[in-house]
Amino acid sequence: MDQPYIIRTRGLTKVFRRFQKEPGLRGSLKSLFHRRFSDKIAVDAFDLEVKPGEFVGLIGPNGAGKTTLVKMLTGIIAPTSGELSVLGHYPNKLENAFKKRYAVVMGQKSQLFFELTPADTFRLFKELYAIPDDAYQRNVDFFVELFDVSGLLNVQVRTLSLGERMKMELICALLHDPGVLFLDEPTIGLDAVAQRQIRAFLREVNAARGATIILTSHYMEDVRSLCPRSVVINGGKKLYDGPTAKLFDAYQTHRKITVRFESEQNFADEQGSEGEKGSEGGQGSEGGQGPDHGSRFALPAGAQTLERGPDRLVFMIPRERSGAVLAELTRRQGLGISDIGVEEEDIGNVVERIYAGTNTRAEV
Amino acid sequence: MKKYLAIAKTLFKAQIVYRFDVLMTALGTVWRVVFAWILWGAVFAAPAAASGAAASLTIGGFTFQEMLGYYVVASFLASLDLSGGVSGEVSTRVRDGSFSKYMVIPASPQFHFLAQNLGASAYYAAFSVAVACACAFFFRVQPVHANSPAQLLLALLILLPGLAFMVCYHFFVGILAFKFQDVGFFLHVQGNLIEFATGAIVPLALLPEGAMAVIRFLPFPYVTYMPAMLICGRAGVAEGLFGLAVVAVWLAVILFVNRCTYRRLRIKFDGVGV
Repeated sequence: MDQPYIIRTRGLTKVFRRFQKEPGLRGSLKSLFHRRFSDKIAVDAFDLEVKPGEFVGLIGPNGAGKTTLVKMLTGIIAPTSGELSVLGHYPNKLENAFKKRYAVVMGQKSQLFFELTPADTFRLFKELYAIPDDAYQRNVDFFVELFDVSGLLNVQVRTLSLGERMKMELICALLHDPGVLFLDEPTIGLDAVAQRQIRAFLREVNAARGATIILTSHYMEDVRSLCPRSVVINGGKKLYDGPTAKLFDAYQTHRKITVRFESEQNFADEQGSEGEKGSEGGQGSEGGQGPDHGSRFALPAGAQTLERGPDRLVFMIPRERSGAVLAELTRRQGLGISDIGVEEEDIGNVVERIYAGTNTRAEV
Repeated sequence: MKKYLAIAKTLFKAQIVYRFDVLMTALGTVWRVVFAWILWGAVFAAPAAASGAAASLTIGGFTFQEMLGYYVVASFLASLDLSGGVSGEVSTRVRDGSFSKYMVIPASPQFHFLAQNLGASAYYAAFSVAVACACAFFFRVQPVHANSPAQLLLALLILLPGLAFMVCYHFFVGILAFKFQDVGFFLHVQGNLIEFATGAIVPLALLPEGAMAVIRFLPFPYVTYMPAMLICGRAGVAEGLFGLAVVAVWLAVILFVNRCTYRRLRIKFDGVGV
């Protein structure tokens, strides 16, 4: 192949012009005669190179520029400046030859006809992409079996659940064997089971079909379990581009722990002292409530409260201490704990940390 | 071509879901005929009472029964023109960013809307023709007076590019949202003017000759008026061929203008909300 990179950008920049006005009716009237605009740099001198078959995660908080980048890569919007090549095409020329070689799935936008069945939309896409009969049937069979959705092909799309609909969107996008698949928040709003199924599906599509996949997601687990390579973007700038494992090891320094209790709690404000290390959740001295009959939950040392409800406490704890804290919580019976959940830290915190260049466990 | 046929077929199927909407649109044909029966009944009644020759009285060359016949045909043809929603849909999709769904598939957005509109029209036609026949029976009018099959064929040949022109025209208004954001003004101004110019409200033959001399070079009379006049046997083959030429030229012009306008304006698309 002449071109080692399937996607290549150099100094890619997108500037949006935004209308501004003073608040209130007076501001509105003034704006009729004197328009004020400001520039918002959504993507700033962005360099990116992606090789065929790669699975790349785009990570960043809301407004970071991820979706704007995907919109430029798919030709939906034109860049303000910079060089851009996807599959050897300039995307915003919107050539059909280019469109037939990629697919894009946006979590909150649909290509399916809600009044019709998924099979009807698949047939339409067969014609739109001029997919030969045998390839079409082979792909439908393959993807339908992979998702185990054969019973849903002839059901009106409107009546499908969000997860079922997303599966159909993905099948629809992949019918023409695209070389590149852009996914913007494909698991947004889905339950854990559907998220897991979609991850397994994408892994298979990448491995078995060799499709290059660019994934943007707010869910750490999506990126962590699927993308060997991550690109972190914030304020339109690239902050990190490298192995995902290294990124998480360096910057995801905390775990989010959710503890649910059998009854309402009167949480102790004070944290467990250093002396209590290894016995986090130590007894409060007084005023104990609930079924623990005198035991009161104290925040483990080094923890930071994120959310506090009557029977629920969410806190963040340094990753190296999470094992010990969990062990202690599960060991102590008297606290009336009904459930413990452990999650990855929110993506926003990680990006903030990368941006600030602090709290790393190791240099990246 | 095959892909646009597939789009038309898909939209044809999608219409089946909207049974109530289809029914109400078909009944719109009845309303127009009832309206004409009341209005023209009153217009014809006064001079007929004075002269005592109701059956032979004509207005603009139409007897009362011929006038009703024109309305039955014109109402049926007008019900096939579903292009009115295109400008609103395109402009809304441009504003909310969902227009991007047409930009990422290998089909021209203009032809996509054209195909989906004609697919939907084909479905409405089946119901509207039944309602038009029922109206003709109920009001005891014979709307089809074409002297030759050529007139009926010409009516069909004019109707298709006429409907296509209307979709393209509304697509043009819709894509102006790339530049102006809100095209409400265009939508407001065009609505009634175009309906009048198509001959769906009154037969254009009633207009002064000077006005007709101008209007016959516009595309709008060839959506409803001219096909209806051919079917009613009130326009000849020569007029039909002239109309076909006019509407074909206008269709070619609007296709070209839309192509250029879309290419130029879509660069401004921000895809907000995508």
